[in-house]
Amino acid sequence: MLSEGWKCFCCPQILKYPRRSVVAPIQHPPSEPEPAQPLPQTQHCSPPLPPRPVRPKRKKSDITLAAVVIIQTWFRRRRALYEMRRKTAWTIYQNIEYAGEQDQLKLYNFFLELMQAVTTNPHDAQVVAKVLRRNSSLTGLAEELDLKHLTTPEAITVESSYRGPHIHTPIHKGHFEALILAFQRGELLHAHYVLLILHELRHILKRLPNVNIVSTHQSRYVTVVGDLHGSLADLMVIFHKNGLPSNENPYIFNGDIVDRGFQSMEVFLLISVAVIVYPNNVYLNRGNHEDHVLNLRYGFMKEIIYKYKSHATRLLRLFENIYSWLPIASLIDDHIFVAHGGISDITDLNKINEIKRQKYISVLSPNFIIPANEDQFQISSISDEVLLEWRQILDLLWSDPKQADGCEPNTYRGGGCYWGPDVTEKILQKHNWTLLIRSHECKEEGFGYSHDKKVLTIFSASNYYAVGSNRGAYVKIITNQPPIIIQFMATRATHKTLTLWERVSYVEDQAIQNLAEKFSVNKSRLMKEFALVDPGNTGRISVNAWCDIVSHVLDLQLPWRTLRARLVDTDISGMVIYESTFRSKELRFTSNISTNARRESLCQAIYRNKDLLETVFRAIDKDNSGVISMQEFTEVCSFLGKHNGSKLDEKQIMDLAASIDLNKNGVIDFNEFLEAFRIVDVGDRFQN
Amino acid sequence: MADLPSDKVDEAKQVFECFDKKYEGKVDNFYIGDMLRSMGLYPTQAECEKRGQTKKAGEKTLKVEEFLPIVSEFYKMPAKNFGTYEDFMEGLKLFDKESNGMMSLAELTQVLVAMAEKLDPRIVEEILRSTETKDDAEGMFNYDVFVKALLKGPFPNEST
Repeated sequence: MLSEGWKCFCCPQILKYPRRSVVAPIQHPPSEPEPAQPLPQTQHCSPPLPPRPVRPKRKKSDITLAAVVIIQTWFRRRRALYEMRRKTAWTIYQNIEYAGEQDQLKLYNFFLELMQAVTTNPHDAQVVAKVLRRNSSLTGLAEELDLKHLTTPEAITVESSYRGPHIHTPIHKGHFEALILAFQRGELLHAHYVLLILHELRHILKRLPNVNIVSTHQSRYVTVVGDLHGSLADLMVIFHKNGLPSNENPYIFNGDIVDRGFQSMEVFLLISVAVIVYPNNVYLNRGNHEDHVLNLRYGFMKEIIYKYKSHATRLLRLFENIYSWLPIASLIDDHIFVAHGGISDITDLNKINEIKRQKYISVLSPNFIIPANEDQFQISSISDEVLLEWRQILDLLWSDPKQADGCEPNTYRGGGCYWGPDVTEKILQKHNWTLLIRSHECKEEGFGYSHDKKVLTIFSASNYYAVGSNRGAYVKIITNQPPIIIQFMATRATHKTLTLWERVSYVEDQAIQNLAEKFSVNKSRLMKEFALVDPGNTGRISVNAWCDIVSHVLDLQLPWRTLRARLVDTDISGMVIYESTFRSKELRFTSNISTNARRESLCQAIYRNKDLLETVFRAIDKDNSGVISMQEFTEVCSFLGKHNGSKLDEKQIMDLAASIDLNKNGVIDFNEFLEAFRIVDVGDRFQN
Repeated sequence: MADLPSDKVDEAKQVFECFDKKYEGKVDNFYIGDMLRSMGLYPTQAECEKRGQTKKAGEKTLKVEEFLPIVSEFYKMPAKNFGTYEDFMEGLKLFDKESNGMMSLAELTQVLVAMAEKLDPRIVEEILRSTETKDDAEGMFNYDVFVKALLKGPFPNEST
């Protein structure tokens, strides 16, 4: 349980103290409210008495009140416990999410820095160049023609067996509704039509300014939607509650439409069609996930490859380009600024308007700043002017607000700034704005105010971390009135509405499982450290030691003391039996290969870096065929090993791949490689 | 806090951090009771108010150095016996006018919301829903079943 102070009601043998009569603060003014003092009319108990001493008669009203207070205090305690556990689960998720993001971005920064040192090791440069290399080095008109040629819908024919919706220009409201129905049924739109829609969207986006100018004069209000992250369910809830977009019902979508959720494509398509049908009343802001570099890692690329297979390359290329044409902010009625991440100390509307946003194919690692094919690159060679312009757009999409004054680099995420209330004040005043609406951060209630209500965070993906983890929300801005926030939570019709207790349990369970998995992939390192503080080999260490080691090895700042009871066993004297850290999850091979300690350690290292490996793998696999050369693969593995200190020895990896029999003619199928080992529940041990 | 064992100090600090949503090192006084309860204590509202709990949020805040002495005080107090099955039943029997094991749900709700240390009606509703307590056509429910469900606890599958 959460606290060792928990006492189980139904088992009287746990009672440590002699039973006193029930005492409660009674609300009669002269009474003593302090329950430590026994009341005069009750019996004073001492240890030798049996558990149920006979009590003299009390007034009925006293008994009633006493009973009522017991029940109330008991309820309060339950509630507090739940709050506590919910917060803890939340903390776990957020920390894991941010740690993951940080890792990804550290990798790219690492690549950048490494490019500086290229003169010493040209071999490394090649690996890096492969990862950051763009598909083409054409610019201007040549690039435009090349894009059109590669991504023209005409290149794909629609088979007669296709049963999904057919879209033709001019695209109209009927198509929009047909798509909604089709997607709700789980149908996939044919790649030919996807390209068609995307090109129509691109056509419109190219004419838009960097900052959408939105006015509520005609419609009287506008609805701002935050992060959706591929959640079709949440989009449907919003349309249901707030109505479909139309000229009378305008919308602003504040970025992060794709990644993480499994229906990013469908959500993006629906919103695109809304923009196409109502170009003057549906607005898009670019989010940090509208970036091919992030799609590599966070799921959109995987989704496209899975759903569209051989057409994926075309689609990905077009998305890459479309992102760069998305406006980067919106301004409502000249006084409410809407951007995905936020602002920073240098945010300046004039400067923003001057940017040629289409240069920034990726905001995180813009290729015109990091040249395509050069083996030699000096980061110090970028001029201040270029850097400042980059910061304008980077800060808009990546920043987070903080409580204290000032503005500092956002090391948590690796891009953008943390900005304080003084910066909000300054920037709002400078532009005569009254409110800043942003998204980018998941909020339990779907929204949150900061900086004296001058900054509103709106997040529209409910159940983001797990079912029941958080609500989603959207905001209606009505002319000259304070914003109205509407919350919701998407639940599948098949699930019964969970009670608060069930919801908290469920979210917490998922979070705890997540942690158990992390333990299993760090087993070798953890055991090593445990052994160091257990010289006598007793198998036990103190709670403090356990918490310290776990926090340090996993590099996760969590309330480990509070979580300990749910994660690991202790003996009667309160010492942690550290082997039980791995009691629920373990990393296993699916095929029968021999293992030794070294190999186990290697596998854990690979699994830990699975996401990074996958990212880099996809970047290298330019034709999206699913295979890369064995040589490239081992290069990447050992390269990553240098990056985060785990030893991914090239020879060992090749040995491993050989023994799993994955090395077929010098190429490796990455998915097969990953399938070779995965995390299983310990109970499955005997089933293989 | 020399008298609080060090692991309790750590626990108190972690609970404090959890409630310190804005990472400012301060928690609203309104939550003193909740923080204590998250640590396994059973303070009544009156006891908390004596030590600075406010009736509403947004009035006062306290730092962790001010919270630790409060925790220490409560640990020094003899453990209260909070409700065995018999205690609950004894109290609720008073509402059982026909002595048939049933009482009025509306009355229970009313009592919890209006008497002594009043509970928020939403909290009561939540707990009733979680224990799947429903009243029959006459508005009566079996309080014995209710009490047993309560005592089973929120996480019946866990060992305590």
